[in-house]
Amino acid sequence: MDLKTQVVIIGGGITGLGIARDLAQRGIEFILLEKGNLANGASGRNHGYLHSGARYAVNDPHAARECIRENRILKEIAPSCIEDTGGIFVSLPEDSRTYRDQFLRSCEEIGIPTRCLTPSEALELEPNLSHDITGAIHVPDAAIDPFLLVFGNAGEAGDYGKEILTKTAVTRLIRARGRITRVEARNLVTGEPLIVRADFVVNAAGAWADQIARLADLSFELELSKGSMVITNQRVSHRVIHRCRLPSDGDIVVPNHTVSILGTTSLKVGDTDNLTVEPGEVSLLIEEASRMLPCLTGTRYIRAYAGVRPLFKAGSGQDSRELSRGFVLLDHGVGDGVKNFITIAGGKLITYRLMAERTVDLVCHKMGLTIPCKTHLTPLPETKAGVHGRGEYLKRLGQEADEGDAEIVCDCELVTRGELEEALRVLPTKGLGEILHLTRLAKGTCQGAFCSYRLLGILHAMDKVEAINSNAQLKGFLEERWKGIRPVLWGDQLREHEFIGEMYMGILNLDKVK
Amino acid sequence: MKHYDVIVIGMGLAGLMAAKTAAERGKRVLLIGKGIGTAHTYTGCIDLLGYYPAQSSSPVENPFESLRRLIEERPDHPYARVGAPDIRNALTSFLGLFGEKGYHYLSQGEKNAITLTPSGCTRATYLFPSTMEWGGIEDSRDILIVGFHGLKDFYSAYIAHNLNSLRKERRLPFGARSISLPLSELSRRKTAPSSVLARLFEEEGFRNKIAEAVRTGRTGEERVAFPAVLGVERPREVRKELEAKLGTPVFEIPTLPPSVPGFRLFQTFKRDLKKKGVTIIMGFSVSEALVRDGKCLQVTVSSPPVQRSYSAEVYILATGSFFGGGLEAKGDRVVEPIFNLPVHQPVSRKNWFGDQFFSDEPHPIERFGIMVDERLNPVDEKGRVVVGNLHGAGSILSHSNALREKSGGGIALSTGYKSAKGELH
Amino acid sequence: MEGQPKIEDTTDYCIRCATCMEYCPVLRVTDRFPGPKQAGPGGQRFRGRDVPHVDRCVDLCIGCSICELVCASGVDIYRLNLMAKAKYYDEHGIPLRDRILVNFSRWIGRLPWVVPFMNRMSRSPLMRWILDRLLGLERQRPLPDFEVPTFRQWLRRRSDGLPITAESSANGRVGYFYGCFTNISEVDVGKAVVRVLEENGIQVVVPEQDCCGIPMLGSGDLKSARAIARKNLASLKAAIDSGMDIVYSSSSCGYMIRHEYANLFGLPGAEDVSEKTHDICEYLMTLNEKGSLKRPSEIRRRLVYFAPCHVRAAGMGLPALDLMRLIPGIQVEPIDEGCCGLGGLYGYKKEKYEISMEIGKDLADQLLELRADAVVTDCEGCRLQIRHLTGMRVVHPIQVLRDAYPET
Repeated sequence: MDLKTQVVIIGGGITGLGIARDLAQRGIEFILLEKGNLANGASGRNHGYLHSGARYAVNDPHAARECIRENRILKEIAPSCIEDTGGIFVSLPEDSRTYRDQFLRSCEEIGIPTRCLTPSEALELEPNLSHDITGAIHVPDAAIDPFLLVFGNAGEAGDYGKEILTKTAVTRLIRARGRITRVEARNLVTGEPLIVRADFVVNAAGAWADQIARLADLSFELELSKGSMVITNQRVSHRVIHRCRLPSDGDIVVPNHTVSILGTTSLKVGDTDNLTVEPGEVSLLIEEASRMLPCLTGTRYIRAYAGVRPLFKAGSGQDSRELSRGFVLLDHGVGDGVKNFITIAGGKLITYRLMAERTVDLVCHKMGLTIPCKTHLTPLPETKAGVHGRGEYLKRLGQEADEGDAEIVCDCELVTRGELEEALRVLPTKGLGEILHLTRLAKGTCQGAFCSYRLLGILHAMDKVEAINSNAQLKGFLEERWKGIRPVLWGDQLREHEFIGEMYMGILNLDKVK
Repeated sequence: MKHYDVIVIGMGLAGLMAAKTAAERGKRVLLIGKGIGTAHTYTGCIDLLGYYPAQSSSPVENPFESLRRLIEERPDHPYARVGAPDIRNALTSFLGLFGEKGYHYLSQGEKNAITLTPSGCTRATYLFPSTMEWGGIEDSRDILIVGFHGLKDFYSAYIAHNLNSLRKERRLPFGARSISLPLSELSRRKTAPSSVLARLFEEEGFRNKIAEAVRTGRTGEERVAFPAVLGVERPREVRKELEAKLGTPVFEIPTLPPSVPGFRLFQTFKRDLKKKGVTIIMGFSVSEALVRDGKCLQVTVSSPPVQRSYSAEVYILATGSFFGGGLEAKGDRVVEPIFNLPVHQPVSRKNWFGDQFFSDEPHPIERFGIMVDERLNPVDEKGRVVVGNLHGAGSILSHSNALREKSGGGIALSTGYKSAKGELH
Repeated sequence: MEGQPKIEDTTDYCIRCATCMEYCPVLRVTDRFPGPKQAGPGGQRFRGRDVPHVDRCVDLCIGCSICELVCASGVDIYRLNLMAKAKYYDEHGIPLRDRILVNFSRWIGRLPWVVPFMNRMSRSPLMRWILDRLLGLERQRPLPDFEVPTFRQWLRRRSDGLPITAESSANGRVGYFYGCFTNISEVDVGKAVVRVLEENGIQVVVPEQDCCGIPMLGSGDLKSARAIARKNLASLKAAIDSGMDIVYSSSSCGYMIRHEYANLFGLPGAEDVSEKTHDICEYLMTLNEKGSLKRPSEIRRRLVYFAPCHVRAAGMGLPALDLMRLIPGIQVEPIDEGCCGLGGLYGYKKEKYEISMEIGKDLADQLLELRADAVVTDCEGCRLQIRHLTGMRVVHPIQVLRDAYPET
C-alpha cells in the first residue's frame, strides 16, 4: 500500500496523539504509525498524576512553571479525564524545615497556589495519614486517566485504519538529498508492507525515539529510566500524598478511580520491553509510602507495573531523576542535515499538549504557514468510557438493567456490557489488551478472574473472535495479568490467585490446552 | 466446656468426609467451618487423578493404575499416605451419600471420564453427577449447546466454536452448534448467578418454555447441553422432564463459580451429617488451639466477642490451602495459623512461583503444606510428630500437585476418610 | 474491638468467589438487589467520605447475615452493606415511616393503655389502607396482637407480693432481658422463662432496659441504635457487676446485645457484658451439663425446629434443639436452614413485602408438608412470619420446656 500525506507521525503515545490532534485542528493532513497499541509505552505505564508543579518547584522551576500552566489548561480542556483531587505534601519529623520553607517560597514565585494545614486539619481530610506528621501543604494536584487522554486526543484527530494506524511498525526511513523521502512500514498482524510519502516526519516515539532516529542514520542518546509502581486494592487517600522533601523514590501516592498507586523508583535500564518489577522495588515502595500512610504496610496490593521514562541525555554523570524532565525539540535540519525530520523527546505526560504545540509550530514554520494553536482552547470530546467519579459508578449497582446493555461484565470495576461493546467497536484491532486501555476491565480486585472469561464469551457472541484459538487468547490475556500480579503475590492477592488457578486450570483445564 | 469425640476443623470436602466417617463409627462429632468450603467454586465432579505426572498434557486413562505408580514413586504424596485400599473405600463411602434412584454420581468403571469444559475443551475427571452423564467425548452424537442471555458465566457460542476446532483437528468425533436464549427473568438483572437460573428450572412453567425454545432452535442435534443449572433440589426430575420434552439426552456442562452441582453436593453432605447427629457450626473460625505436651486439649471458636472452647479426643485439621486460610502467605513465609505447624516451603519467596502462570511445571507453592506421616499426624522436617491427637486432611497437605494432576477431590475424600477412620486414634 | 480488623479493612479479604451470591435470599427473589458480593465489598471500593451515597439498593439487604456465615474469606459482607445503608440514610434522612416503626414497640410498652385501641385499629381495613398509603405499611401483613397487661406489668404485680425465699433463689439470680416484643405481644414467652428459671431455683430479676436497638439498625439508623445501646449497656453492666448473669429469650435482642454492641459499636464494657450474657436455652444446657437442670417430664409432641438467622449468626450451635431433645416423648426435627423472610420490620414495608413473602415461600411449603403439632423457633419475627405464611402454631422453645414442667 502506498500512502501520501503532509505529516507522518511516528509513535502513538500521548505526544504523538497530541501532535495529531493539533495538526488536525490546524487543517494539516497526517498519518500516525504506532507499532503496538495506542499508549503502548510510557503513556500507558505512568502514575496517572496531574502535576501542580510543586514537586519541581525547588529544583526545577522551569519544569514547575510548565506543569502549573498545563495543569490549568488540561483541567479546562479535558475535565472528563481528570479527578480534581488536590494534593498534600506532608512533613515528617525528620524532614528538613529549610526545604519546606524553600518549597513554599518557590511555589509562590512560580504561581502554584499553596495552603498550609495543621497536622490535625490534614488528618481530618485524610484519616489514614501518619499521626507523626508535623505539617502539611495543600496544592492543586489531580489524578488523570492517561488512557482517556490518549483516546480523547485520538478521537478528535482522526479515524483508526485511516489516519491512525496501529500494529504498524516503521522498518526504514529512506533518506535522500537531505530529506526523508519515504517511510517504510509493515502491518505486524497481516505482514503487509506499507509506504508513506510525506512532506515532514515527526519522531514522537518516546523510549524508542533513538531507535527511530537511527533508521535515518542519526543518533542521540536517551536514558531509559524505569519507574515501578504498586497498586492497592482500595483507595487509601482521597488526595495525592507526597513527602515534603527533595523528590526521591517511593514518596508519592496517587488515587486513581478505586485504587491508590504508590510510586516510584528510578532505575537505569537498557531495554524497553519486558519490564519486570523487582521484589526489592516493591518493598522499597511500600516501606517509603507507609511512612506517610501507615496502613500501607498491611493493606492488600493487587498489581505492580513499570514504565520507562525516556530522558533526553543532555550531559553525563547525572542522577536519572536530576535529568531535566523538560522536553527537547530537535530540528534535524539544523546540524544533522535532514531538513524535514523532527524529533520531540523527553517531557512528561502532562506537558504533552505543550510539546505538541511546539512541534506543530515548527512544522508550520517549515511549511511557511502561520496558523495559531488552539488545542488549549478547545475541549476534548468526551468518550463514553469517560465516567469519572466513583459515585457515578455506584449508581450502576442499583439501576435497572436494559436489555443486555447495562449488564455488568467486570464485577470489580463495574464495567458494563454496553461500555465493552462500544470499546470493541472503537478499537482498531481485536487485541484484548487494548480493552484494558479503554475500560477498567480486569483492573480491579480479582484482576480478571471472571471478566477475562466473560470477555471471550462476549467476543464470541459478537462474532469478533479472530481465527486463532480463543483459548490461546484467553491464556495470553491471563499471562499478561500474571506479570503484574506476581510481584505482589502474598496475603489476599495470593489467595485470589489460588482461586484463579482453580478456575482456569481446574474448571477450564487451560493449563493442558496448548 | 463441651466435649466431643472428634472435632473436625474445615468444611471443604475433606472436612465433610472426615465428619461423615467419624459419625458412622459412632463418634460424637463437632464440625467447625470458617465458611462454606470450596465445593461451591468447583465443577461438582470428583477428580481422582487426571494427569500423572503433573506436567503431562495427556490425561490418564486408568487412574487406579497411575495411582499405583504414584504411590510407589511419590511416597510423600497424600495418596501414598492413604494407600490404594482406603482411596477406594473413601470413594465408596462418598457414593453412599446418594440414593441410586435420585441424583447420584457415576464413573466409567476403572477409567477416567473425559468431560467438556465451559471453554470448549476437555478435562479428565472420575466421579461426575448423573446430570453430566451424556457429556462424554466418545459419544459421536452432535451437541446443541444452550446458553442464556444474562447468564454471564457460560457462553454457548464460545464452547461450540472451540469444540468444532477440536473436531476439525480430529480430536473429537462430534460437532456442536450453539443457541442463546433471551430470558425476561434475567434481562432486568445486573447480576444473575447460576443459582438463580437453577431455581427457575425447578418451575414447570419455566421448563416448558425453555423446552419449547430449544425445540425450535434445534436442527437435528442428538444431544443437548445446558449450563449446570438444571435445578437445585430436584435435578434428576428436571433433567428427566427436559429429556422427555425434547426427546434427546440432556446433560450439564459446569459453569464458572458459583457452582450449582457444588451446592447440591454440599447440601447432600450436610443433610447426611445432620441425620447422623453431627453438630455443625458454620461461619466461625478457630482462633486458637491449646496444645500441651504434644497433645491438643481444646480449640477455641471465635464468634466475636464471644469465645467458646471445645475439647475432643481427636482433632482433624482440614482447613484447606490459602483460599480459606488453612495456610497463610505472609510477606515472606507461609504459616499454618491455628496450630503453627511446620509448613513445607522453600527458604525464599522468590521461589514460590515460576515466571509463567500457565507453566508445564507446577509452581513450587502448589506443593506447600503441612507434612504428615502415614497416620496423617503432622510432623516436622525431621519426621517427628508435632501433635499426637491431630490429623491433617485435604489440600492443607504438602507434596501434592493437585491443581495440575487434577486430584483435589480424590485427595480430599481419601485423606478425610482416612483421618477419621478410627484405627489411627 | 481489639485484635479485630476494622469492618472496612475486611473488604480486602474478598476474592470474589461469589459463594455469598449463591446463598443470599434477597438476590434469589428480586432483581433490584445487586447481591452481597457487590453491595458489600464490591461497592465498598467505590465508597468514600467524599463520595455521595447514591446506591439505595443497599436498603434491600434483609440483614440475615447468611453471607457472612458462608464466606470462607471472613469478609464482613453484611456489615459493609449496613454501614453503606447507614451512610445513605445519614445523607438522605430516615423516612418518617421508619422512624415511627422502629420506636413503635417501645412506645406501646410505655403506654399500655393504648393497646386495645391499637388492636382495633390494626384490624380495621380502612385504617390499614390509610397506613398503607400514607406510611407504606403493607396492609396484607397483619399486625401482631398487643397484650395487656404487658410482661413488665405482670412481673411487677407478682413481685410486689412475692417473698424472696431461700428456695426461690437457691441457685442465685439471673437478669432477664425480655425484649420489646415479649413485653407487648408475647407475654407468655416471658412467663415461661420466669417459670422455668424459678423451677430451677433461680430468681429472675429484670434490669432497667429499653429496646435493644436492632429495629433501628435494620432501618439504617445507627446513631439511634448506638444511643440506646449505651443506655442498655450501663444497666446491664451494673447487673453483671452485682454478680449475676444475663439471659435473653429473643434471639435478635440477644444477638444485638451480645455481638453488635461490641463489634459494630465498640462500646466500652460491651465485651464484659457479652461474656456473661446467654441465650436462655444455652444457659439451661450449661446447667444440664453441670447436672443441675431439673428433669422435665414426658410430653408427647411432634415438633419442627426452625433455627433463626440470629441463632446461627451467634455461632453457638443449636442449644434450643439440644434442650428440647432432653424432654422425654418429644420428637423434634430441625428443618433445613434459610431465612424466613421477615427480617424484623423489613417485611412490613410495602416496597419489601413481596420480597419477604417470596423468600419465605420455600420454608412455608416445607413446613406444610411436615404436618407437625407445632413449629418451634426462638425468634419472634420468625414466629410471626411462619404464622402468616402457614397459619401453623408456632412457639418458643422455652414454652415447650415450660410445658414439660408439671404445674405444682
